[in-house]
Amino acid sequence: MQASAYQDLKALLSHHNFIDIDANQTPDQVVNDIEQNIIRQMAFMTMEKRKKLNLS
Amino acid sequence: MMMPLNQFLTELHQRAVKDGIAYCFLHDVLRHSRLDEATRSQPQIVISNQDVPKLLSHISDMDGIHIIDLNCNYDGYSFAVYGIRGRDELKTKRFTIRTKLCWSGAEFSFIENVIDRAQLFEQDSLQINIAHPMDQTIISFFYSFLNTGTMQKSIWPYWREVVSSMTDTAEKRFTKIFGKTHGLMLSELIKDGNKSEVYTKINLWRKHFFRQAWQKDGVSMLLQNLRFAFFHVKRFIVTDKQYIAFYGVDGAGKTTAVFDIYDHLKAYRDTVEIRHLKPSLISPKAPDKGRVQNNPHAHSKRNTVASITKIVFYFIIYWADRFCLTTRKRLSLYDRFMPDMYVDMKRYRLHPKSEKFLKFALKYLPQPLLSIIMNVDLRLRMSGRKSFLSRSQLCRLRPIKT
Repeated sequence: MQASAYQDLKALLSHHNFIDIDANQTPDQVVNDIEQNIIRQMAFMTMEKRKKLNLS
Repeated sequence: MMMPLNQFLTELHQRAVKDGIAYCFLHDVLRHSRLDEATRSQPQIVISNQDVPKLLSHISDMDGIHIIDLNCNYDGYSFAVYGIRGRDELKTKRFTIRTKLCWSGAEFSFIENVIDRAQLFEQDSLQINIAHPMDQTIISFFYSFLNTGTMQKSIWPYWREVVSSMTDTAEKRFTKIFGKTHGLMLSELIKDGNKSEVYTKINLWRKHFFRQAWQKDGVSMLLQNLRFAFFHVKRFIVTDKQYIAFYGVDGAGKTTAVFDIYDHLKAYRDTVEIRHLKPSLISPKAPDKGRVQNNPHAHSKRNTVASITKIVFYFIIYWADRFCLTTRKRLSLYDRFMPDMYVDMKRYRLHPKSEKFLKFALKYLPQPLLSIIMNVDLRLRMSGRKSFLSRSQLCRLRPIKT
């Protein structure tokens, strides 16, 4: 059976910050997922910026 | 009541002879209406996928039963067979109906289609209910609207004839299935009203029925969770120029989620905006929430050059939006982002040959802060919204199993 297109997409854009949201998740799980991903991503972006500016 | 195939067929035949009209087989049609209650007293069978052609050939051999239409429900394992009384009566009608098959565009090769879809959703067997002939009329009539929003012209006089000939039972069956207000209205409309009236009325109800389906398969729960999450999370989003992208199949609730979150964040900060797929070069348009595209896959695909040009154009405006166009800081909520093109190339009319180029372009696309993929049960969405896709495309659009 063919792979799901979203799985392909995730593999292709591994540097993007994908989150799966499911109807079976509890509200807390969704909050945790999104919160942690945003924090991680913000940290990642700042790192990149610092690298570009030769600050690190 | 469960029974083996042979017994089922003989019982069906007896019923058909006794009542003078054939019964239909239904499974899961309008499971969100009150159909379950209406058909609970009728017999049911479970047969394996291999037996489907056998069953159909048996039925077509029976006296008094003719298969005039076969309807595949697109959730993998359900189908309905409509039969009507007397071969002679239908001799003239039958062929016109047959040649102009059918509700949802599925042809007679649909048996394969049913089995295909059953395999797609890993179903080994079909569960079949027999419904009252009036239910068959009502449901197939209504369901064709729900599925396609249109109805075949040649079928209309037939349904009308059936409904008006069974005046007493019609109202009862209608009210049993659709409730008092809707049922009475519908039966009256079919008897007296003209076609366009029925048309508009049922199109109005489509929304109502889809909303019910949403509540059942948890989309509304998902939306609630997202709303809740963004209420808590908004303080983490620094007021920089950022994107949040939403992905998902049609009807997963992307647009609703985007509008909900927009309302939330708007109360907290001014610089939020909604975008659909691509950044607009001038100021963003006023969002149109009510617009529904019935069949986005209907257009033919572009040639390779045009597809590549489109990709390049999108790529440029994404970067232009990121850097040059506005210096104002804002948070853009994207209802579909450019990588969605890769998921469903047919929708964006891209030539398959341009896939490599698209992959290349996507790698260097500006990165959103967050990409949210909304997973919902595809079976239900198929029956309503994606009835126009081929099997391989359906396979690709499956939600990810976690």
